[in-house]
Amino acid sequence: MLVMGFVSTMVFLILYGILFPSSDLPVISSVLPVFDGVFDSGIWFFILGAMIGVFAILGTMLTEATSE
Amino acid sequence: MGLITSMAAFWLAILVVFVLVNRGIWVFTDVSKSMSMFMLEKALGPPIDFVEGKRGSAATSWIIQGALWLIPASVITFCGLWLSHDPEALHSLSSWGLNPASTSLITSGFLVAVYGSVGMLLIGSSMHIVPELGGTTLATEKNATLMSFVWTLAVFVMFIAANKPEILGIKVMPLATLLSNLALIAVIVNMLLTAASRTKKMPLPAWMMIIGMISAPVSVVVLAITGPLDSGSGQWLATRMGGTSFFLMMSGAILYGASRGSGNPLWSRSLAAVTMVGAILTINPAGLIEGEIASDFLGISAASFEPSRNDIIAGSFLLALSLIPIIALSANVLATMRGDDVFIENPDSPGMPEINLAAFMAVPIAIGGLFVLTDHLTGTNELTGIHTSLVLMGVWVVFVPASLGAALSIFPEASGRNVLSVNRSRWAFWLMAGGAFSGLVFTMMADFSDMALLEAAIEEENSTASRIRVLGSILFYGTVLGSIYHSLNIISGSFRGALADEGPTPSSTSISSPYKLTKETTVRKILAQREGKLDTVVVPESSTDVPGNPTEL
Repeated sequence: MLVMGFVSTMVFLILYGILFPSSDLPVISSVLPVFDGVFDSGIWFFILGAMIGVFAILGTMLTEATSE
Repeated sequence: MGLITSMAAFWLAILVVFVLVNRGIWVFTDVSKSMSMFMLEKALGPPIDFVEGKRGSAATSWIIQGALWLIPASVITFCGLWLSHDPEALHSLSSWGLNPASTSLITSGFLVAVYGSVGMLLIGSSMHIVPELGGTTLATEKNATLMSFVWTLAVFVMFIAANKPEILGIKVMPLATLLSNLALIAVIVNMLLTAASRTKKMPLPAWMMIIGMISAPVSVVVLAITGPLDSGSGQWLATRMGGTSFFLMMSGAILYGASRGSGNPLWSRSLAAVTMVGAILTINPAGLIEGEIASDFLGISAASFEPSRNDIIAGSFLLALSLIPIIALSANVLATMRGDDVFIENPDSPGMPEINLAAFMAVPIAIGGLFVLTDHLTGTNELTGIHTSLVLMGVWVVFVPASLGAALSIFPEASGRNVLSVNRSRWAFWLMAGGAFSGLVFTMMADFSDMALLEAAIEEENSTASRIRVLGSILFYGTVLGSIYHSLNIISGSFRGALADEGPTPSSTSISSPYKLTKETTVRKILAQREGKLDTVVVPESSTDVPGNPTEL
């Protein structure tokens, strides 16, 4: 499923680039400028990693508690 | 009042507490027991029904929350180390009104690690160890479980207080002290009731944990009564006694954990007694060198540290003596883990590598602490530049592994399930230990470099130290990953880990030996004792001692 999602995303982006050259991506191009000057230090990559870990724990707790 | 007088009052108070716990309070014993039990359960009303009273639930709850606190503690410390070389890294948080600085993050990371992780893991372990060694059950599982959430709230308030000391003109840290002491007093009463219902003589590790818990509030009361709490020396001594409290609890936990995890009996009861008595009689080097943190906790103004000549002599002497209980503990734990031979028993068992690391590193870090503390006590202050790195190393290479190791080794018995994966536990250990040790060693190298330039009065920016700090903070990230791995392993294990009562599969083969063994053993142990031989000696059955003769024809 992950591979399929990745491939279809790439296909969509390439297709969009061919059909609408030099046009910004909808939604994404409006959201990204909000983060300008926010994640401008390498520390954010590490914090992002820790956040993924925390969400993995939360996800584990939810799935374990609701399984069966 | 001088330092030695305050210490004498502390020794006397602990002795009185020990006697009272053992002998009871004369005719009031039964009344106090039933009243304490009422206060711990029924007096709390509906909140007590929110938690379950199943056996082991309190220890499990404290241990899981302690493990979870490892993540924020390591992340905050990592951010503090990063900001020491890149102060503007988190400037974007200023739009939310947050302006984190390296020093405040490192202090709050230290507090969260000590009170959130180490404190909760040790108290959780004590809730299993004390009843187990006393041959009884915890007096009230419900209250102990409920108090774990109060303690967690206290740690959260502590974290806020370290970064924002005053909100609306009100000091925040005393609120954290109030909450944590509320939970601690309930836990102490619970432990005393448990100890009172013991059915057999309780071994020393259990007493260490109880006395360790009690010594925290007792030391503050003693310093308040004897007077020096508003002086710099008194606040410094209060911080040191906080270290004593944690050291005693940690000693009890790892002595039990080393014995239980390895399956070997405690190597020396005499050394355990030396550890306990020595820890009380001496001044422990664990913790921050300055007494300011004690004044923050108590909400009093910080006094300048101006010890008298007698205080310096007595303090240095008692600090140096503190190596005796630390070496005794380290030797006892390592020898217990080795057992009869040269190998550590069950080296893959979760918790054992952590305990081994803590016991191994306790002595060198304590020696480093002695140098820095004596330097501070005498007013020289030449080594205070490495103080922060050394304190962090003490926390992340001794106290956290010790408390986590003890908690991991008793987790199966407390929760009824093993951690999910031994392999993941091993990975978590290497990430955590490797990250903390290497990251903090590099940070300490940068500290030394800064100190050298400061001494030479060079005002230029030290680019070498800055680069080493980058490396140190990135390496410390391994501790964050290790914390996440450990927490995931414990949480998943509590849901679907192998049941703890499933014993190991017995071997289908057995070795019949002509030797009488006093207990079961392994081939490895026999070989390690240099008693066994792999060469089989064949002796013919018909052989006799009669000398042979030529065959008569």
